[in-house]
Amino acid sequence: MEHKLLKKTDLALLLAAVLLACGVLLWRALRPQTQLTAVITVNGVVTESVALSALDCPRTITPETDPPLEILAEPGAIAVVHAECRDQRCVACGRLTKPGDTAVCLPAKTVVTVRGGAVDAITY
Amino acid sequence: MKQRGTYRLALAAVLCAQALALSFLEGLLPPIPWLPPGAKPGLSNIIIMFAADSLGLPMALTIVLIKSGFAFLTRGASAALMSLAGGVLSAIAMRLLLKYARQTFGLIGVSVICALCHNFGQLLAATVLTGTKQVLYYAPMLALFGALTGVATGVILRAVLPALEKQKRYFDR
Amino acid sequence: MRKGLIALAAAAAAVLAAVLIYDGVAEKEAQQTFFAMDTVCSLTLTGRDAPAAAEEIPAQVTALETGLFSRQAAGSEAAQLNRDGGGAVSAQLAQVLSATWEISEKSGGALDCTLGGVSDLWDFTGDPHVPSQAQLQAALAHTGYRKLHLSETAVAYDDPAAVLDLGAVGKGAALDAVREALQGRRLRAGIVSLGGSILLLGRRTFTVGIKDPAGNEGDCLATMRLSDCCISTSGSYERFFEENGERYHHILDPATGLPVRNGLVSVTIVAQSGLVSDALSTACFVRGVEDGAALAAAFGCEAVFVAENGDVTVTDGLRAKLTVTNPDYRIVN
Repeated sequence: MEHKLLKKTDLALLLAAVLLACGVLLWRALRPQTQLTAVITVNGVVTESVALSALDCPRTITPETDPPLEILAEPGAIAVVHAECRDQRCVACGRLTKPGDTAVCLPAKTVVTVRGGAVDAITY
Repeated sequence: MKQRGTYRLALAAVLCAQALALSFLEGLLPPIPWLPPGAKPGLSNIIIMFAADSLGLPMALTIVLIKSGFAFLTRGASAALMSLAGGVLSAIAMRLLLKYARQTFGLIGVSVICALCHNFGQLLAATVLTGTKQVLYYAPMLALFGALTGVATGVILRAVLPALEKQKRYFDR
Repeated sequence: MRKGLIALAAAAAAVLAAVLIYDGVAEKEAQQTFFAMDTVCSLTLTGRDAPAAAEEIPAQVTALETGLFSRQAAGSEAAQLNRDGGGAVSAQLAQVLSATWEISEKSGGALDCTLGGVSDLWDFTGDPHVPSQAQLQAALAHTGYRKLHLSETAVAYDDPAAVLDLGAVGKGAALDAVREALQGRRLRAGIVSLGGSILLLGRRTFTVGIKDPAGNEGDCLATMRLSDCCISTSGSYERFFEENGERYHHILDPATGLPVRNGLVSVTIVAQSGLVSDALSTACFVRGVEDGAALAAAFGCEAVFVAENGDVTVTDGLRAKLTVTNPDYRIVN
């Protein structure tokens, strides 16, 4: 086995790997949107997890809830677009686009949350 | 000749045990925050690399297979698949490097390439397992991590190489 | 050859030992989301006992709600007290009531757990409307925490028409009960949120955001780096309605029975005890920035006051741990 520890090509290789990785990280940091995932929870059970950043076309989700809900996931955003309940609070939340954004439908016991941020919990 | 085969097998078994021991020692390290669960320094790569060189690719792949079987027993199917994908890729990379670029890279260079291949293989396995491209998010962090651990394993490999070769000579009868 | 076998055996033994140790320190994480106390609750626990513990907490919180605190739950101790105008109570409820009573006393009545009759008039959770002055006066005649006489086993009402309402302390008291139940469990860290009242467990430092009253659900105006404590917030944005162009929110002044109007939109309290943080967030909101800060200091708690105009007042002990993340807000003290 070759015993030489470090050669010039090694340094070139390391430099290339580090530069490439840093380049991707920088590009990602400069992009406004981070990787967003929407998590839909019905009655405490996660029924759907949508990678919003990876979507390339809008997708309608209808979880089995009572009253029924219609959720629209788009690239980078998710929204409850229709709810067959009285208070319509979840629809009023509008498009959820940032980590931590949440729409709650108490009658349907459904929570739609966007994950990906750095906050562990929010006090309100 | 038959005698020699037995010694080779014995050496492979010892190397295999050492690889398992190393991979479990690093399993004791706490998870690293911004890396995917399962990302490890890859200390057992030291042994796999040495095996690929001294015993050839089939034996190195056998060690990889046993190692992932062990991961299956202790940490479940997904850990085993990740271990397998990473191990196979890095063993093949090692063999190719030795065959075609023996004089091009030093030990650090070889280790870094193996570490990067190892991480890349794990990432591919994770992508298949989760069925999402989300895990590729970790790629740049893993590359940095791989470069760092590659340097570390290269240095360690240089330090333990005399011992490993002494061990090998013990079986070279 | 023998040496080789010995080496092999030693290596195998080392691997076996490593397996056993690995299994012993394995980190487990468990998450739950559930509905209790009229709100969304969530928890994340890490550690060996995390999965088992996480399974039990939702039932425990629901049991506290329906068994002790909720006056709307017919079988609860609170409901029975209100129906019978006093009576025997469990040690757990007695403790909660006496802690609440002490905060009422020290806050000069800014917290009153007998406001049930008044909040029923406003009906924030059902069909909210502004009650008439006469209705309010009639209801206020039956309020006042001093009308409750507490012992370790019973509560006596001076006024049988008083309505005990633990809405301002229930979530906090439940957090304390959860913490007690988790004691002795092998957990490394945990975070429990009962509708925005938060319990942090273990030595890990968490990032807790304070909701931006003007923003969407999930927007924060500031973040705090905290560990091993309870955090509660009272905000006028939580429940409100508009009538004849006027905005009415659910934090009522016990003296007048009307929503507090002192320029504040939210008060966040960081305390060791969940009950204290929950109760003080309401009491400090009622008292306003200056008196509220003094009240928080009297209980050894930290506080964040957020005003309608974006002014944020932070107590000294919390200053270094708090970062304002929304440029519409600024620290003024």
